Amino acid sequence: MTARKGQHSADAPDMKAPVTVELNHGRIIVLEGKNSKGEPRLYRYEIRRIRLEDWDRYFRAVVNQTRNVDGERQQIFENDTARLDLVERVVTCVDGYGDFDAVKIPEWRNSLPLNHRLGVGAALCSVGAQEQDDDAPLSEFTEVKLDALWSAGVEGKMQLIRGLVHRFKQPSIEQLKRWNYESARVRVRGTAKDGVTIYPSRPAVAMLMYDELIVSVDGYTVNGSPLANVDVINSEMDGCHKAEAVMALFGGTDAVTIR
Amino acid sequence: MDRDLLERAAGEFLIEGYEYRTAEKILRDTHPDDREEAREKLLSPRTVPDGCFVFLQHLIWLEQVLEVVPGISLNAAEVEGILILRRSRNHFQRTHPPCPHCGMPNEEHALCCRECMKEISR
Repeated sequence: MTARKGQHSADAPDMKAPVTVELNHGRIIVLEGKNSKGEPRLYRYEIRRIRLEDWDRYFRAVVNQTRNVDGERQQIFENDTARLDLVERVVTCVDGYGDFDAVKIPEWRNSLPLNHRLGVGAALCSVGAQEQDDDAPLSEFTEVKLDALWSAGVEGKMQLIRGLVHRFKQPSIEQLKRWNYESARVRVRGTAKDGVTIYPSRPAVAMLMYDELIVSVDGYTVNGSPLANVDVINSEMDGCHKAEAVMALFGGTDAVTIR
Repeated sequence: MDRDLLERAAGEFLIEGYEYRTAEKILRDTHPDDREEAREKLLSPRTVPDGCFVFLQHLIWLEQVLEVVPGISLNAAEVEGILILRRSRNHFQRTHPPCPHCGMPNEEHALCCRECMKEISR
């Protein structure tokens, strides 16, 4: 592989078009940085499609612990390592770093600047739920709307796509119980003085529960066609979007509170 | 989840709730900047890792759900956890009998109620 020079402009994220997320294509992430002379420069990353197993590995690699050291409680949340691992596995091509021969630098992914890889990782995980509309009429289904930074368009601008709809069945009490149980299934060791609590990966659990609850989605396509039924949704939906939607359905990150 | 740790967590959780009622009144009159420090001094320290309390919260929620939906299925960890929680609650109630006047729990040896301040005859 030979790197290409970046010729793209990435100002603020584009708030207008497009209106759909095309799931079967790779993604383009464009970063703006500075070269050694301090001049602005664009860096373009081509990303292959991120599969459900990639997301599962990412979610489980995020470290979420509390540790007691001499009675002092320390919260440890670390996702940089997981993001670097994700980017390393999914980036297929880069632009903007001058010409280099990938054959001569087989580990070129590791040579990319650390802050750029972390920036790309952050962009790949950039999805959030909109606030639930309390005035919405009662319905058989619960709608969750997501906003996501997905991919750079033809102009090279990152696109923020708003209002991606996920319609869920009402969770049964058994499903709600399972969600709470899985979220509370911590691993502990040690005592109060030196105790460690390792929290489970809620997104990984959420991603699995998505398939049981989803009914329909809007705003996504596969090869230009909307996702017509539950089987297609389950197999094609992006794992990070699945996890975020289910966490919003079950009340975000506040379902289990810690003092 | 280790049974002993969970049992200790349940005991500490119940004591914390008991102490919090008094602490709350003092904290209300404490300067906001000093509240966290005051809270730490007023409440008994926890002696088990945080995770035990997370699981305990799940058990408390589950216990409440069971009152409404009795048929819900439980796994072994949940059944055992609820039994530990109930045992701890029974122990707390034995060692903190209610005030005959206002019903608030007090220590066994208390001569007057910490809530209504009325005399408790033993």
